[in-house]
Amino acid sequence: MRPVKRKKSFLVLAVLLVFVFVLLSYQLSFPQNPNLLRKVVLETSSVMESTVDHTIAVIKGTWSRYLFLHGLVDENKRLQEVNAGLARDVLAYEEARLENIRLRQLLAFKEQQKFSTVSARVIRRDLSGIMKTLMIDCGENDGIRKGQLAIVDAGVVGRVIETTWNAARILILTDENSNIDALIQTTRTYGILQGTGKDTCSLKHIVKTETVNQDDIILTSGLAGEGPKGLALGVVRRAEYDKTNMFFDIEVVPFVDFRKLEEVLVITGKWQGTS
Amino acid sequence: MISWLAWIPIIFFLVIIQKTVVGVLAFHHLSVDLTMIFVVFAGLNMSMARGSVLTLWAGFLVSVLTGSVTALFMCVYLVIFSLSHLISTRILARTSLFIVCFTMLCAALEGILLMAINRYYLGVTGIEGMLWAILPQIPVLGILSPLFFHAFKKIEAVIHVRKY
Repeated sequence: MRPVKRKKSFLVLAVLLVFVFVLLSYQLSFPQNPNLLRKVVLETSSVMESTVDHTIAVIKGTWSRYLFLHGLVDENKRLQEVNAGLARDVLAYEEARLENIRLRQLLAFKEQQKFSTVSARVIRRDLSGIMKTLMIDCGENDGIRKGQLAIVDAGVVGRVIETTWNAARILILTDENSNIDALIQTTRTYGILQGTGKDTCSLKHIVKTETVNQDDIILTSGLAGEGPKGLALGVVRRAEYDKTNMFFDIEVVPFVDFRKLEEVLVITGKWQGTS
Repeated sequence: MISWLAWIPIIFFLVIIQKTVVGVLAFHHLSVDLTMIFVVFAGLNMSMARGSVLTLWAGFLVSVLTGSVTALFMCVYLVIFSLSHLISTRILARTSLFIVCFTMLCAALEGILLMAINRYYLGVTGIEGMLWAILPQIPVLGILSPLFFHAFKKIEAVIHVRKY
């Protein structure tokens, strides 16, 4: 830029500066309503600003929703974890409640008996093996001995066949090796209740001259020192005989549901007569 | 002529962006006077006639949109433009570092001018709040200036006015 032209430029600039300062002073001295150009600019800018604002609002809204949804995922995960914890708690409380009910029933049943018992918790059940047994958490230290009967309020569970100091194994009624002296409640007929290996038992040695009906109750006989007389064993489901055999073929369904057992009583002490 | 006219809507748009988007991005805690970067750019890169007219236009727009006296920003911007233009005749202002430093200097000058005019010309008292609005934008404008200079140069290239 040549010096003369540069001087001219700065002169124009100086004039402009003076002009705006004068303008500023004038506007301060004589405040006016917005002029037309200012109005046009404001009007145009307001339209543009509202458009930009709207666009920003849309973007912000979308982002907020995204963040909200993102937060929702985390919240959902957290709530699921809380829910799982609560469900576990509820389950534990329900278990405790049901256990309480069972133990109360067992206690009530125990108090009804005229013989001493030891309550034990079933710690393992083997109902599909070669021998159908239950393991309980009480043993010799608790007074449990081989041959004692295990019962619940529904009836007899089985007989103790093996003991350790703190555990015992019970052979349940339905095992083929289980034999218990029994009698039919209505007719007072004696027989041997033997397991079939399935879910039922068979009442043996009932001669066909006796009367056996369906739904007859089978009780312990109290013979052979196995336990008190009159404990419930099962109910007759079917009783048949054929001409070639002198005994009834009697199918007995035990009262106890062995798959649902959680606690049992083992008859440990002396008993007198019937239960 | 087109190089004159093309900048008018661009500056307008820049002022709108400055008033809307920047406010949102800064969470309405910081005002960033992007137009000031344009004024510095115009002072360093444009001819005196074109630059001064566009500076006055920018000042007018900012005054209108900020609701201040019409000539306030025209006056401040014209001073900054004059300083920039004066510098441009002495220094080849190409490096980013210079642009950053000079923009920060101009932002500080703008703040001082605004406070001075408000205090001594318009008789506004209690301008300490203004100080807290001006100070944070000085480094922000400095950091942003190379980016905007690059963009303005691209625009100049598009409208076929390449002075540099």
